[in-house]
Amino acid sequence: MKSNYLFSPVFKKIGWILFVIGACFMTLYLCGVIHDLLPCTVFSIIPASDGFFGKGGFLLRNDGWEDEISIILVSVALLCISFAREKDEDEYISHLRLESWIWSILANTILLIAGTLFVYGFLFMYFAWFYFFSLFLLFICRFYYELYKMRRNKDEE
Amino acid sequence: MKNNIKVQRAIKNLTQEQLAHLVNVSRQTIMAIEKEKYVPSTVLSLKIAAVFEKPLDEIFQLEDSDWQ
Repeated sequence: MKSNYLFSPVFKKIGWILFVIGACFMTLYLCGVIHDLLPCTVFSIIPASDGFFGKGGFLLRNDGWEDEISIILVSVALLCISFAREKDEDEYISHLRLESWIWSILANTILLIAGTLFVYGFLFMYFAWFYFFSLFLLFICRFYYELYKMRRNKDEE
Repeated sequence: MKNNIKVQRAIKNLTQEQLAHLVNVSRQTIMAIEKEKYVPSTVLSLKIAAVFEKPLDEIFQLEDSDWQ
């Protein structure tokens, strides 16, 4: 029983490298160190100032690329880490993988409810940024903790 | 579901590592099955039964709780 939706194990390393670069970039952006990087005309589906159903429809506007680059980098990185096959992947590890996804979806929903109830004002924007990636982060923490517990169990016979 | 893989291994004089190698899984998987922390798939159960040259229900037995 092979899980054919997984990437090669090498993607884990690629994912961590991209994650470090993306996370550094995102931190610099959120701290205001970099802004309006590579400003150019971008294609916006929903006009930013007119709300979701605002008039105007498709629109070309000027914007920097730092937030787009950091979100895409971190998303791709976390996807690579989460979906990289373990070198010794077998059905028990697939079972742990599935359980970790279920756990992380539940934990992520609780996190959203807690964040909505207890985080207000400008801080909520930082929470929203964290929430973009929290499902993957929770999964990675849980899955690698389960693998660690499984592998440290050495008692034979 | 109960199993007597440990007994069957002793009869065949196999270590967990050797059995794991024969059925193409990790030793930790065999350990989890022996400790009844994990119920193997039908494919893996049949492979284990084939290694021990025994019918499946001689190695794996249903418990009352499996019927509820």
